[in-house]
Amino acid sequence: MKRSKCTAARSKRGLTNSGRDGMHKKLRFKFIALSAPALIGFAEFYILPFIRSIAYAFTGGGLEKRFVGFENFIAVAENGYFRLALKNTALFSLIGVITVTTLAIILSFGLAGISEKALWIKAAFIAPYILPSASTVLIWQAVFDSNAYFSLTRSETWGGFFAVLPLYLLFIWKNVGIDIIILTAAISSVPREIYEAAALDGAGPKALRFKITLPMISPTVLFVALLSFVNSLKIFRESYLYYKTNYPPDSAYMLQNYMNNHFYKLNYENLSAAAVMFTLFVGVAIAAAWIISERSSKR
Amino acid sequence: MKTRVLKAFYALLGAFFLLASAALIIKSLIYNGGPSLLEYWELFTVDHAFFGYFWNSVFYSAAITAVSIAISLPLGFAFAKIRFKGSKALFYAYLLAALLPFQATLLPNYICLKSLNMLNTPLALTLPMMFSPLAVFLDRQFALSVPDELIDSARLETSSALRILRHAVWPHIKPGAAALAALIFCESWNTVEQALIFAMDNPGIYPLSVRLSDLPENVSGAGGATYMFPIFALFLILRKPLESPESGEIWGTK
Repeated sequence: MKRSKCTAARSKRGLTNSGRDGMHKKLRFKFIALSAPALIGFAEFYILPFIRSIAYAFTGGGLEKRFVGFENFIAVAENGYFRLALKNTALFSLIGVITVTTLAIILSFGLAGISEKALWIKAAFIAPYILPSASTVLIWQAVFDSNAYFSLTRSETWGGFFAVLPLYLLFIWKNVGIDIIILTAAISSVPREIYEAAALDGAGPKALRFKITLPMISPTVLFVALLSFVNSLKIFRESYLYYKTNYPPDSAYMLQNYMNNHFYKLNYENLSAAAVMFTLFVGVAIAAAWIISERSSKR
Repeated sequence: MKTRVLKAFYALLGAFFLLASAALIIKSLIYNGGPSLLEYWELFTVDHAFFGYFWNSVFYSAAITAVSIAISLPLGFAFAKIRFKGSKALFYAYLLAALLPFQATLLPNYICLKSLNMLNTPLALTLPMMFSPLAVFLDRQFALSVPDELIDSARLETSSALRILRHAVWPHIKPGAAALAALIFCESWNTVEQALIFAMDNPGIYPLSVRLSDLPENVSGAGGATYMFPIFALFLILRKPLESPESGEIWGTK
Protein backbone atom coordinates (compact mmCIF):
# COMPACT_ATOMS: atom_id res chain seq x y z
CA MET A 1 0.00 0.00 0.00
CA LYS A 2 2.66 2.35 1.09
CA ARG A 3 4.70 1.53 -1.94
CA SER A 4 1.94 2.17 -4.45
CA LYS A 5 1.31 5.57 -2.91
CA CYS A 6 4.93 6.31 -3.36
CA THR A 7 4.97 5.34 -7.01
CA ALA A 8 1.79 7.29 -7.58
CA ALA A 9 3.44 10.34 -6.13
CA ARG A 10 6.48 9.75 -8.25
CA SER A 11 4.51 9.41 -11.45
CA LYS A 12 2.65 12.57 -10.63
CA ARG A 13 5.96 14.31 -10.21
CA GLY A 14 7.11 12.89 -13.47
CA LEU A 15 4.16 14.39 -15.25
CA THR A 16 4.41 17.87 -13.91
CA ASN A 17 8.02 18.20 -13.23
CA SER A 18 11.27 17.41 -14.87
CA GLY A 19 13.60 20.08 -13.62
CA ARG A 20 13.64 23.59 -14.92
CA ASP A 21 12.25 22.85 -18.36
CA GLY A 22 9.27 20.94 -17.20
CA MET A 23 7.43 23.83 -15.64
CA HIS A 24 3.76 23.83 -16.55
CA LYS A 25 3.01 25.92 -19.58
CA LYS A 26 0.21 27.73 -17.83
CA LEU A 27 2.34 28.51 -14.79
CA ARG A 28 5.22 29.66 -16.94
CA PHE A 29 2.86 31.97 -18.71
CA LYS A 30 1.66 33.33 -15.38
CA PHE A 31 5.19 34.12 -14.24
CA ILE A 32 5.97 35.88 -17.48
CA ALA A 33 2.72 37.84 -17.24
CA LEU A 34 3.72 38.94 -13.73
CA SER A 35 7.02 40.13 -15.17
CA ALA A 36 5.24 42.28 -17.72
CA PRO A 37 5.37 45.60 -15.74
CA ALA A 38 9.14 45.38 -15.39
CA LEU A 39 9.56 44.38 -19.04
CA ILE A 40 7.33 47.15 -20.36
CA GLY A 41 9.11 49.77 -18.28
CA PHE A 42 12.49 48.50 -19.37
CA ALA A 43 11.45 48.60 -23.01
CA GLU A 44 9.95 52.07 -22.67
CA PHE A 45 12.81 53.66 -20.74
CA TYR A 46 15.85 51.76 -21.98
CA ILE A 47 15.43 49.70 -25.16
CA LEU A 48 13.22 51.94 -27.33
CA PRO A 49 14.99 55.20 -26.46
CA PHE A 50 18.30 53.50 -27.07
CA ILE A 51 17.16 52.48 -30.55
CA ARG A 52 16.08 56.06 -31.09
CA SER A 53 19.42 57.39 -29.98
CA ILE A 54 21.09 55.01 -32.45
CA ALA A 55 18.93 56.64 -35.10
CA TYR A 56 20.02 60.06 -33.82
CA ALA A 57 23.63 59.02 -34.12
CA PHE A 58 23.19 58.47 -37.84
CA THR A 59 21.48 61.79 -38.55
CA GLY A 60 22.89 65.26 -38.79
CA GLY A 61 22.67 68.58 -40.51
CA GLY A 62 20.92 70.66 -37.84
CA LEU A 63 17.18 71.17 -38.24
CA GLU A 64 16.67 69.35 -41.51
CA LYS A 65 17.41 65.82 -40.42
CA ARG A 66 19.16 63.66 -42.90
CA PHE A 67 21.08 60.42 -42.89
CA VAL A 68 24.81 61.04 -42.59
CA GLY A 69 26.10 57.51 -42.22
CA PHE A 70 29.02 57.16 -39.85
CA GLU A 71 29.93 60.85 -39.95
CA ASN A 72 29.06 61.43 -36.29
CA PHE A 73 30.92 58.34 -35.17
CA ILE A 74 34.00 59.37 -37.10
CA ALA A 75 33.80 62.87 -35.68
CA VAL A 76 33.58 61.49 -32.14
CA ALA A 77 36.34 58.96 -32.67
CA GLU A 78 38.61 61.67 -34.06
CA ASN A 79 37.85 64.04 -31.21
CA GLY A 80 40.94 64.29 -29.03
CA TYR A 81 38.90 64.86 -25.89
CA PHE A 82 36.79 61.78 -26.50
CA ARG A 83 39.91 59.67 -26.84
CA LEU A 84 41.44 61.18 -23.76
CA ALA A 85 38.20 60.59 -21.84
CA LEU A 86 37.95 56.99 -23.02
CA LYS A 87 41.53 56.28 -22.01
CA ASN A 88 41.15 57.89 -18.59
CA THR A 89 37.85 56.14 -17.89
CA ALA A 90 39.18 52.72 -18.89
CA LEU A 91 42.25 53.27 -16.74
CA PHE A 92 40.22 54.53 -13.80
CA SER A 93 37.75 51.64 -13.92
CA LEU A 94 40.44 49.01 -14.32
CA ILE A 95 42.80 50.26 -11.61
CA GLY A 96 39.98 51.40 -9.34
CA VAL A 97 38.08 48.11 -9.48
CA ILE A 98 41.17 45.94 -9.00
CA THR A 99 42.44 48.03 -6.08
CA VAL A 100 39.14 48.35 -4.26
CA THR A 101 38.27 44.66 -4.69
CA THR A 102 41.68 43.43 -3.57
CA LEU A 103 41.67 45.76 -0.60
CA ALA A 104 38.16 44.66 0.35
CA ILE A 105 39.17 40.99 0.21
CA ILE A 106 42.22 41.58 2.42
CA LEU A 107 40.28 43.65 4.95
CA SER A 108 37.41 41.15 5.00
CA PHE A 109 39.80 38.29 5.76
CA GLY A 110 41.24 40.31 8.61
CA LEU A 111 37.80 41.19 9.93
CA ALA A 112 36.76 37.55 9.84
CA GLY A 113 39.78 36.80 12.01
CA ILE A 114 38.89 39.12 14.87
CA SER A 115 36.07 38.48 17.30
CA GLU A 116 32.42 39.18 16.68
CA LYS A 117 32.43 42.06 19.14
CA ALA A 118 34.37 44.31 16.78
CA LEU A 119 31.46 44.56 14.38
CA TRP A 120 31.13 48.32 14.80
CA ILE A 121 34.28 48.58 12.70
CA LYS A 122 32.45 47.00 9.80
CA ALA A 123 29.72 49.60 10.21
CA ALA A 124 32.38 52.34 10.22
CA PHE A 125 33.65 51.26 6.82
CA ILE A 126 30.26 51.92 5.26
CA ALA A 127 30.14 55.51 6.57
CA PRO A 128 31.76 57.17 3.53
CA TYR A 129 29.32 55.39 1.24
CA ILE A 130 26.30 56.99 2.87
CA LEU A 131 27.86 60.38 3.42
CA PRO A 132 26.61 63.10 1.06
CA SER A 133 29.14 63.58 -1.74
CA ALA A 134 29.55 67.24 -0.91
CA SER A 135 30.86 66.53 2.61
CA THR A 136 33.03 63.65 1.39
CA VAL A 137 34.72 65.90 -1.08
CA LEU A 138 35.24 68.68 1.47
CA ILE A 139 37.33 66.35 3.61
CA TRP A 140 39.57 65.31 0.74
CA GLN A 141 39.95 68.86 -0.43
CA ALA A 142 41.18 69.73 3.04
CA VAL A 143 43.66 66.82 2.92
CA PHE A 144 45.15 67.87 -0.41
CA ASP A 145 44.88 71.60 0.07
CA SER A 146 48.53 72.56 0.39
CA ASN A 147 50.97 74.41 -1.79
CA ALA A 148 53.36 71.50 -1.69
CA TYR A 149 50.79 69.19 -3.21
CA PHE A 150 49.70 71.79 -5.71
CA SER A 151 53.25 72.13 -7.00
CA LEU A 152 53.40 68.33 -7.35
CA THR A 153 50.43 68.43 -9.71
CA ARG A 154 52.31 70.99 -11.80
CA SER A 155 55.42 68.90 -12.20
CA GLU A 156 56.35 67.83 -15.69
CA THR A 157 56.31 64.03 -15.66
CA TRP A 158 54.15 63.08 -12.68
CA GLY A 159 51.83 66.08 -12.62
CA GLY A 160 48.95 64.24 -14.27
CA PHE A 161 49.27 61.38 -11.83
CA PHE A 162 49.16 63.64 -8.79
CA ALA A 163 46.26 65.62 -10.22
CA VAL A 164 44.07 62.54 -10.50
CA LEU A 165 45.33 60.68 -7.41
CA PRO A 166 42.81 62.29 -5.01
CA LEU A 167 39.99 61.00 -7.22
CA TYR A 168 41.31 57.44 -6.97
CA LEU A 169 41.71 57.67 -3.20
CA LEU A 170 38.25 59.15 -2.85
CA PHE A 171 36.78 56.33 -4.91
CA ILE A 172 38.51 53.60 -2.90
CA TRP A 173 37.68 55.22 0.42
CA LYS A 174 34.05 55.57 -0.54
CA ASN A 175 33.45 52.11 -2.01
CA VAL A 176 35.53 49.67 0.00
CA GLY A 177 32.95 49.58 2.82
CA ILE A 178 30.00 48.26 0.83
CA ASP A 179 32.29 45.60 -0.66
CA ILE A 180 33.45 44.57 2.81
CA ILE A 181 29.85 44.18 4.04
CA ILE A 182 29.05 41.85 1.14
CA LEU A 183 32.32 39.91 1.30
CA THR A 184 32.29 39.31 5.06
CA ALA A 185 28.75 37.96 4.77
CA ALA A 186 29.98 35.58 2.07
CA ILE A 187 32.98 34.50 4.14
CA SER A 188 30.80 33.75 7.14
CA SER A 189 28.55 31.58 4.98
CA VAL A 190 31.32 29.11 4.16
CA PRO A 191 30.43 25.96 6.17
CA ARG A 192 32.67 25.40 9.19
CA GLU A 193 32.95 21.68 8.47
CA ILE A 194 34.97 22.35 5.35
CA TYR A 195 37.60 24.25 7.34
CA GLU A 196 37.68 21.56 9.99
CA ALA A 197 38.14 18.82 7.43
CA ALA A 198 40.91 20.74 5.69
CA ALA A 199 42.62 21.53 8.99
CA LEU A 200 42.58 17.81 9.83
CA ASP A 201 44.36 17.24 6.54
CA GLY A 202 47.04 19.61 7.73
CA ALA A 203 46.13 22.83 5.93
CA GLY A 204 47.56 25.97 7.54
CA PRO A 205 45.68 29.27 7.89
CA LYS A 206 47.18 30.56 4.67
CA ALA A 207 46.14 27.49 2.70
CA LEU A 208 42.66 27.71 4.24
CA ARG A 209 42.26 31.23 2.93
CA PHE A 210 43.61 30.76 -0.55
CA LYS A 211 42.56 27.20 -1.24
CA ILE A 212 39.15 27.16 0.45
CA THR A 213 37.67 30.54 1.31
CA LEU A 214 38.67 32.36 -1.84
CA PRO A 215 37.39 29.73 -4.31
CA MET A 216 34.18 29.36 -2.25
CA ILE A 217 33.43 33.08 -2.37
CA SER A 218 34.64 33.67 -5.93
CA PRO A 219 31.12 34.35 -7.33
CA THR A 220 30.70 37.02 -4.64
CA VAL A 221 34.07 38.49 -5.53
CA LEU A 222 32.89 38.72 -9.12
CA PHE A 223 29.74 40.48 -8.01
CA VAL A 224 31.68 42.91 -5.85
CA ALA A 225 33.94 43.70 -8.79
CA LEU A 226 30.88 44.33 -10.94
CA LEU A 227 29.37 46.65 -8.36
CA SER A 228 32.65 48.53 -8.05
CA PHE A 229 32.76 48.89 -11.81
CA VAL A 230 29.29 50.47 -11.83
CA ASN A 231 30.37 52.79 -9.04
CA SER A 232 33.61 53.68 -10.81
CA LEU A 233 31.52 55.13 -13.61
CA LYS A 234 29.70 57.27 -11.06
CA ILE A 235 32.79 59.19 -10.00
CA PHE A 236 31.66 62.18 -12.05
CA ARG A 237 29.84 63.83 -9.16
CA GLU A 238 32.87 63.69 -6.90
CA SER A 239 35.07 64.86 -9.75
CA TYR A 240 32.79 67.81 -10.42
CA LEU A 241 32.71 68.79 -6.77
CA TYR A 242 36.41 68.23 -6.22
CA TYR A 243 37.75 70.14 -9.20
CA LYS A 244 34.81 72.60 -9.06
CA THR A 245 34.50 72.56 -12.85
CA ASN A 246 33.32 70.43 -15.75
CA TYR A 247 36.80 70.76 -17.21
CA PRO A 248 39.15 69.03 -14.76
CA PRO A 249 42.88 68.51 -15.41
CA ASP A 250 43.55 66.40 -18.50
CA SER A 251 44.46 63.30 -16.52
CA ALA A 252 41.10 63.41 -14.71
CA TYR A 253 38.92 64.13 -17.74
CA MET A 254 36.45 61.20 -17.92
CA LEU A 255 33.82 60.14 -20.42
CA GLN A 256 31.13 61.42 -18.11
CA ASN A 257 32.65 64.91 -18.36
CA TYR A 258 32.59 64.63 -22.13
CA MET A 259 28.97 63.50 -22.26
CA ASN A 260 27.81 66.03 -19.73
CA ASN A 261 29.43 68.88 -21.62
CA HIS A 262 27.89 67.79 -24.90
CA PHE A 263 24.46 67.45 -23.30
CA TYR A 264 24.58 71.05 -22.15
CA LYS A 265 25.79 72.12 -25.58
CA LEU A 266 22.63 70.41 -26.96
CA ASN A 267 24.94 68.49 -29.25
CA TYR A 268 22.63 65.45 -29.34
CA GLU A 269 23.91 63.77 -32.49
CA ASN A 270 27.45 63.80 -31.25
CA LEU A 271 26.33 62.69 -27.79
CA SER A 272 24.27 59.81 -29.21
CA ALA A 273 27.21 58.59 -31.23
CA ALA A 274 29.44 58.77 -28.15
CA ALA A 275 26.86 56.95 -26.02
CA VAL A 276 26.38 54.22 -28.62
CA MET A 277 30.12 53.71 -28.94
CA PHE A 278 30.57 53.61 -25.20
CA THR A 279 27.73 51.09 -24.83
CA LEU A 280 29.42 48.95 -27.45
CA PHE A 281 32.71 49.04 -25.54
CA VAL A 282 31.08 48.04 -22.28
CA GLY A 283 28.99 45.41 -24.08
CA VAL A 284 32.06 43.77 -25.57
CA ALA A 285 33.84 43.86 -22.20
CA ILE A 286 30.90 42.17 -20.46
CA ALA A 287 30.50 39.58 -23.18
CA ALA A 288 34.18 38.71 -22.85
CA ALA A 289 33.92 38.48 -19.05
CA TRP A 290 30.80 36.36 -19.39
CA ILE A 291 32.38 33.91 -21.80
CA ILE A 292 35.46 33.59 -19.61
CA SER A 293 33.41 32.94 -16.47
CA GLU A 294 31.20 30.38 -18.27
CA ARG A 295 34.24 28.56 -19.53
CA SER A 296 35.98 28.54 -16.17
CA SER A 297 32.84 27.30 -14.42
CA LYS A 298 32.54 24.43 -16.89
CA ARG A 299 36.03 23.26 -16.10
CA MET B 1 48.64 39.16 20.99
CA LYS B 2 48.39 39.01 17.23
CA THR B 3 44.64 39.47 17.22
CA ARG B 4 45.06 42.43 19.55
CA VAL B 5 47.35 44.20 17.12
CA LEU B 6 44.97 43.35 14.34
CA LYS B 7 42.08 44.74 16.34
CA ALA B 8 43.90 47.95 17.09
CA PHE B 9 44.79 48.32 13.43
CA TYR B 10 41.20 47.86 12.39
CA ALA B 11 39.93 50.23 15.05
CA LEU B 12 42.28 52.91 13.72
CA LEU B 13 41.26 52.23 10.16
CA GLY B 14 37.58 52.29 11.10
CA ALA B 15 38.10 55.62 12.84
CA PHE B 16 39.68 56.95 9.66
CA PHE B 17 36.59 55.94 7.71
CA LEU B 18 34.31 57.49 10.32
CA LEU B 19 36.27 60.73 10.34
CA ALA B 20 34.28 62.61 7.71
CA SER B 21 30.90 61.70 9.17
CA ALA B 22 32.05 62.52 12.68
CA ALA B 23 33.42 65.87 11.56
CA LEU B 24 30.12 66.73 9.94
CA ILE B 25 28.10 65.82 13.03
CA ILE B 26 30.45 67.64 15.39
CA LYS B 27 30.29 70.72 13.19
CA SER B 28 26.50 70.61 13.30
CA LEU B 29 26.57 70.59 17.11
CA ILE B 30 28.68 73.73 17.40
CA TYR B 31 27.13 77.13 17.17
CA ASN B 32 28.98 80.37 17.73
CA GLY B 33 31.93 78.52 19.19
CA GLY B 34 29.99 76.55 21.80
CA PRO B 35 28.14 73.28 21.82
CA SER B 36 24.44 73.70 21.10
CA LEU B 37 21.57 72.49 19.03
CA LEU B 38 20.87 75.98 17.69
CA GLU B 39 21.99 75.03 14.19
CA TYR B 40 19.25 72.42 14.00
CA TRP B 41 16.76 74.84 15.54
CA GLU B 42 17.59 77.39 12.87
CA LEU B 43 17.50 74.85 10.06
CA PHE B 44 14.12 73.47 11.04
CA THR B 45 12.39 76.72 11.93
CA VAL B 46 13.91 79.50 9.84
CA ASP B 47 14.52 77.76 6.55
CA HIS B 48 11.15 76.15 6.05
CA ALA B 49 11.89 74.90 2.56
CA PHE B 50 14.24 72.31 4.05
CA PHE B 51 11.44 69.99 5.14
CA GLY B 52 9.74 70.25 1.78
CA TYR B 53 12.85 68.95 0.02
CA PHE B 54 13.45 66.40 2.75
CA TRP B 55 9.99 64.91 2.26
CA ASN B 56 10.42 65.03 -1.53
CA SER B 57 13.47 62.83 -1.08
CA VAL B 58 11.73 60.47 1.33
CA PHE B 59 8.77 60.13 -1.00
CA TYR B 60 10.82 59.52 -4.14
CA SER B 61 13.23 57.07 -2.56
CA ALA B 62 10.50 55.09 -0.78
CA ALA B 63 8.39 54.87 -3.95
CA ILE B 64 11.35 53.84 -6.11
CA THR B 65 12.50 51.21 -3.63
CA ALA B 66 9.04 49.69 -3.04
CA VAL B 67 8.02 49.57 -6.69
CA SER B 68 11.30 48.30 -8.07
CA ILE B 69 11.55 45.53 -5.46
CA ALA B 70 7.98 44.43 -6.21
CA ILE B 71 8.12 44.43 -10.00
CA SER B 72 11.63 43.08 -10.44
CA LEU B 73 11.08 39.95 -8.36
CA PRO B 74 8.90 37.99 -10.85
CA LEU B 75 11.20 38.85 -13.73
CA GLY B 76 14.32 37.96 -11.80
CA PHE B 77 12.68 34.67 -10.86
CA ALA B 78 11.69 34.02 -14.47
CA PHE B 79 15.27 34.66 -15.59
CA ALA B 80 16.59 32.22 -13.01
CA LYS B 81 14.13 29.37 -13.19
CA ILE B 82 12.21 29.49 -16.45
CA ARG B 83 13.70 29.01 -19.86
CA PHE B 84 11.94 31.05 -22.49
CA LYS B 85 12.87 32.16 -25.95
CA GLY B 86 15.34 35.01 -25.97
CA SER B 87 15.81 34.97 -22.20
CA LYS B 88 19.59 34.92 -22.50
CA ALA B 89 19.69 37.86 -24.92
CA LEU B 90 17.22 39.80 -22.80
CA PHE B 91 19.21 39.14 -19.66
CA TYR B 92 22.33 40.34 -21.41
CA ALA B 93 20.52 43.58 -22.27
CA TYR B 94 19.62 43.95 -18.59
CA LEU B 95 23.17 43.34 -17.47
CA LEU B 96 24.47 45.88 -19.95
CA ALA B 97 21.90 48.47 -18.89
CA ALA B 98 22.78 47.87 -15.24
CA LEU B 99 26.44 48.55 -15.90
CA LEU B 100 26.11 51.67 -18.02
CA PRO B 101 26.72 54.98 -16.31
CA PHE B 102 23.94 57.47 -16.01
CA GLN B 103 25.49 59.64 -18.72
CA ALA B 104 25.03 56.92 -21.35
CA THR B 105 21.35 56.41 -20.53
CA LEU B 106 20.76 60.10 -19.93
CA LEU B 107 19.79 60.97 -23.48
CA PRO B 108 17.53 57.92 -24.07
CA ASN B 109 15.75 58.61 -20.79
CA TYR B 110 15.46 62.29 -21.57
CA ILE B 111 13.97 61.62 -25.01
CA CYS B 112 11.47 59.20 -23.50
CA LEU B 113 10.36 61.52 -20.68
CA LYS B 114 10.01 64.38 -23.12
CA SER B 115 7.80 62.38 -25.47
CA LEU B 116 5.64 61.32 -22.51
CA ASN B 117 5.37 64.94 -21.33
CA MET B 118 6.75 63.97 -17.95
CA LEU B 119 9.72 66.33 -17.72
CA ASN B 120 9.58 68.59 -14.66
CA THR B 121 7.10 66.34 -12.86
CA PRO B 122 7.79 64.02 -9.91
CA LEU B 123 7.26 61.12 -12.30
CA ALA B 124 10.41 62.11 -14.17
CA LEU B 125 12.40 61.68 -10.95
CA THR B 126 10.92 58.31 -10.03
CA LEU B 127 9.62 56.35 -13.01
CA PRO B 128 12.92 55.66 -14.86
CA MET B 129 14.59 54.51 -11.65
CA MET B 130 11.71 52.19 -10.77
CA PHE B 131 12.73 49.93 -13.65
CA SER B 132 16.19 49.49 -12.19
CA PRO B 133 18.10 46.90 -14.23
CA LEU B 134 20.32 46.27 -11.22
CA ALA B 135 17.31 45.07 -9.20
CA VAL B 136 16.37 42.54 -11.87
CA PHE B 137 19.95 41.38 -12.18
CA LEU B 138 20.29 40.85 -8.42
CA ASP B 139 16.86 39.24 -8.06
CA ARG B 140 17.94 36.68 -10.62
CA GLN B 141 21.06 35.94 -8.58
CA PHE B 142 18.95 35.57 -5.44
CA ALA B 143 16.35 33.37 -7.16
CA LEU B 144 19.07 31.05 -8.44
CA SER B 145 19.80 30.11 -4.82
CA VAL B 146 16.23 28.89 -4.25
CA PRO B 147 16.30 25.08 -4.45
CA ASP B 148 14.20 23.62 -7.26
CA GLU B 149 12.65 21.14 -4.81
CA LEU B 150 11.20 24.01 -2.81
CA ILE B 151 9.44 25.39 -5.86
CA ASP B 152 8.25 21.97 -6.94
CA SER B 153 6.69 21.24 -3.60
CA ALA B 154 5.05 24.66 -3.58
CA ARG B 155 3.62 23.90 -6.99
CA LEU B 156 1.92 20.79 -5.63
CA GLU B 157 0.09 23.02 -3.17
CA THR B 158 -0.97 25.86 -5.41
CA SER B 159 -1.14 26.86 -9.04
CA SER B 160 -0.97 30.57 -8.28
CA ALA B 161 2.29 32.15 -9.40
CA LEU B 162 1.89 34.95 -6.88
CA ARG B 163 1.51 32.49 -4.02
CA ILE B 164 4.60 30.58 -5.07
CA LEU B 165 6.57 33.81 -5.11
CA ARG B 166 5.14 34.93 -1.80
CA HIS B 167 5.38 31.70 0.18
CA ALA B 168 8.25 29.74 -1.40
CA VAL B 169 10.59 32.25 -3.03
CA TRP B 170 10.27 35.39 -0.92
CA PRO B 171 11.19 33.87 2.49
CA HIS B 172 14.30 32.42 0.93
CA ILE B 173 15.58 35.58 -0.71
CA LYS B 174 14.54 38.03 2.02
CA PRO B 175 18.07 38.85 3.24
CA GLY B 176 19.12 39.55 -0.31
CA ALA B 177 16.07 41.68 -0.92
CA ALA B 178 16.88 43.67 2.22
CA ALA B 179 20.35 44.40 0.90
CA LEU B 180 18.93 45.28 -2.48
CA ALA B 181 16.43 47.64 -0.88
CA ALA B 182 19.25 49.35 0.98
CA LEU B 183 21.26 49.74 -2.23
CA ILE B 184 18.34 51.14 -4.22
CA PHE B 185 17.21 53.48 -1.45
CA CYS B 186 20.75 54.75 -1.04
CA GLU B 187 21.14 55.32 -4.75
CA SER B 188 17.86 57.15 -5.19
CA TRP B 189 18.49 59.19 -2.04
CA ASN B 190 21.76 60.38 -3.53
CA THR B 191 20.63 61.24 -7.08
CA VAL B 192 21.74 64.66 -8.15
CA GLU B 193 22.29 64.77 -11.91
CA GLN B 194 19.00 63.15 -12.90
CA ALA B 195 17.00 65.63 -10.88
CA LEU B 196 19.00 68.59 -12.16
CA ILE B 197 18.31 67.63 -15.77
CA PHE B 198 14.84 66.05 -15.67
CA ALA B 199 13.33 68.75 -13.46
CA MET B 200 15.36 71.69 -14.71
CA ASP B 201 12.40 74.11 -14.87
CA ASN B 202 10.68 73.05 -11.66
CA PRO B 203 13.15 73.35 -8.77
CA GLY B 204 10.32 73.02 -6.25
CA ILE B 205 10.24 69.26 -6.77
CA TYR B 206 13.99 68.77 -6.35
CA PRO B 207 15.09 66.17 -3.83
CA LEU B 208 17.15 67.24 -0.84
CA SER B 209 20.34 65.88 -2.41
CA VAL B 210 20.26 68.66 -5.00
CA ARG B 211 19.45 71.41 -2.52
CA LEU B 212 21.99 70.41 0.07
CA SER B 213 24.78 72.45 -1.46
CA ASP B 214 22.55 75.55 -1.56
CA LEU B 215 22.07 75.60 2.20
CA PRO B 216 23.54 78.67 3.90
CA GLU B 217 26.89 78.04 5.56
CA ASN B 218 25.59 78.45 9.12
CA VAL B 219 23.15 75.53 8.83
CA SER B 220 25.04 73.31 6.36
CA GLY B 221 26.35 71.00 9.11
CA ALA B 222 22.89 70.33 10.48
CA GLY B 223 21.57 69.93 6.93
CA GLY B 224 24.21 67.33 6.07
CA ALA B 225 23.68 65.43 9.31
CA THR B 226 19.92 65.36 8.81
CA TYR B 227 20.45 64.25 5.23
CA MET B 228 22.57 61.30 6.41
CA PHE B 229 20.17 60.26 9.13
CA PRO B 230 17.59 58.23 7.09
CA ILE B 231 20.28 56.19 5.34
CA PHE B 232 22.05 55.58 8.62
CA ALA B 233 18.77 54.46 10.20
CA LEU B 234 18.07 52.20 7.22
CA PHE B 235 21.42 50.46 7.58
CA LEU B 236 20.81 49.99 11.31
CA ILE B 237 17.40 48.45 10.61
CA LEU B 238 18.70 46.23 7.82
CA ARG B 239 21.95 45.37 9.55
CA LYS B 240 20.93 41.90 10.65
CA PRO B 241 19.80 40.61 7.26
CA LEU B 242 22.70 42.41 5.57
CA GLU B 243 25.35 40.72 7.69
CA SER B 244 23.78 37.32 8.12
CA PRO B 245 25.48 34.25 6.64
CA GLU B 246 22.28 33.58 4.69
CA SER B 247 22.77 36.80 2.79
CA GLY B 248 26.33 35.71 2.10
CA GLU B 249 25.01 32.54 0.54
CA ILE B 250 22.67 34.54 -1.62
CA TRP B 251 25.24 37.03 -2.86
CA GLY B 252 27.49 34.20 -3.85
CA THR B 253 25.12 32.36 -6.18
CA LYS B 254 26.28 32.08 -9.71
